[in-house]
Amino acid sequence: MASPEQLRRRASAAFAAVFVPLFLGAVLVQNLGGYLRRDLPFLEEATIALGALGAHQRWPMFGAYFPNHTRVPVVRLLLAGGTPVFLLPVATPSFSDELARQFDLAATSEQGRVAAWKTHVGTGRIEKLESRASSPWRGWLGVRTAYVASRMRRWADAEGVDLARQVRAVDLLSVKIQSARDGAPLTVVSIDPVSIEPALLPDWPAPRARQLVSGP
Amino acid sequence: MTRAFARVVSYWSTPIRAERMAAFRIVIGALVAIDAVITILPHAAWYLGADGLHPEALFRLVAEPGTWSLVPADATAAEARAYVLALVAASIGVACGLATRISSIAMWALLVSIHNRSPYVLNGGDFLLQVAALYLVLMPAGRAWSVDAVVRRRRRREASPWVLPWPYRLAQIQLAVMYLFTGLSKLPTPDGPHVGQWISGQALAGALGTATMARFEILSTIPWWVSAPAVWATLVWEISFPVLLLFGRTRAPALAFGVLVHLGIFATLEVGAFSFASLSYYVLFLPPAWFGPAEPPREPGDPR
Repeated sequence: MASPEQLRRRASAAFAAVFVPLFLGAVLVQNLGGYLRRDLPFLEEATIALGALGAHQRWPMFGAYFPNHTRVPVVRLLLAGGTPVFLLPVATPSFSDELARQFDLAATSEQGRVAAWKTHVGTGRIEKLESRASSPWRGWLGVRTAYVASRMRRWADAEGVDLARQVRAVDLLSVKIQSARDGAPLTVVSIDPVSIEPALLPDWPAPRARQLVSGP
Repeated sequence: MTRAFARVVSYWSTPIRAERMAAFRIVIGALVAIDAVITILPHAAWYLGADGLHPEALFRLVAEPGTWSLVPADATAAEARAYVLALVAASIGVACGLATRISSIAMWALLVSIHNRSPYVLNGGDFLLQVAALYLVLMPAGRAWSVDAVVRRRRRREASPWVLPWPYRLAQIQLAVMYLFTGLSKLPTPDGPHVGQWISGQALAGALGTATMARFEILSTIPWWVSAPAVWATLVWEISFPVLLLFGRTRAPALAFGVLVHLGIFATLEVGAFSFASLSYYVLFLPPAWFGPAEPPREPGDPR
């Protein structure tokens, strides 16, 4: 007669005999698919299974070719009276007042504007968010739109502003900052408008069809 | 061939001390709790709420296949905070070994739910913690160093301190897979524009000059050729990590180098909990002798 411990072990071994090969196979397929950047047999099935288990395999942080610049988002609001308001990034480099005023010169390629370095401690998540929200990549359209909506709401809550009534237009600017090398200061090389799509959000808090500009 | 096969079978089936899983459980539970309190709770409404970063409309649009979340799309700010607090409670339960299996399932379900509701603020460390939570669900991690074990002892219903190792092995392999593919992704592609920053040795200087990630401005003054040897060593170490683990003589140096790499990343770059999530897996490779006898006693009917 088997003891409860022995029965437990047998059940665990039987489960493992099925689960381990399937799980390891899925892990390898998803990792290989990500590395080779192409479809492999069972990649879709592996992605669904690992997604359901919360076991997605997404590791590469710095690939072979990472850019020599970073981008940070600035939300530009035009109030009903014509006054512009700039909502600067939460966690990324800070800007001088002079540079902040120059955001109005969006889409210029004017160079040599200096941004101040910010010491980063415990802000990794927001930096990740703002990096994605300022990317012109088409796949991040949803992130950009949600970021603008949530930044507007937070600002409006803090300032007591009615976005639907008091905001005339909304825009998102992507500030491109050259990475520092050999002690050179951080330099803003361009400020580009990037697209947002209010139609993605049923409860977009500001007037919908009034973007200042549309980006890529 | 037969010997190699026997070693593989033994690797997957020879019982190990429950304390080894308990150590992993404590580290992961504590890390999830600390990370949730410091980096998620203060922004819970922004990350998870109905007016936050990932409203239902976007969730439906961009969610990957298989993705799910217990956090409702219309969560209020208070509800969003409640879900994060529930995660904190579950992960403390995991760390203490209190109703370990139930706490592990709750921690896994809440962690996956919260991450899936806020995918734009995640990094590699979050995915490592998610998978670790899954492995803890599969492990009998409450057998030792836990409130559960104390309760069982008082009721004189102690369970064997030897447990089947397969979930533990999966977690060990996970770390090796992570390093291998992270390393491979740093190699130049045939159609790439140039050899890339890792082969040219400029990757670390590039990262330390990145305004959104490098912790301190002064790090950007380090010339690339000073950091280049560390770049090449890291690349070789990552790709060879699975092989280095196979041999007793190379295992400890590989792990020691990894500790230095992760402490270096933590000291210089703001990448969330990635460094500590990675290091928490290193507990899986601590010498078995630290946890008690290396070999389990033979029992009648032992599945070995």
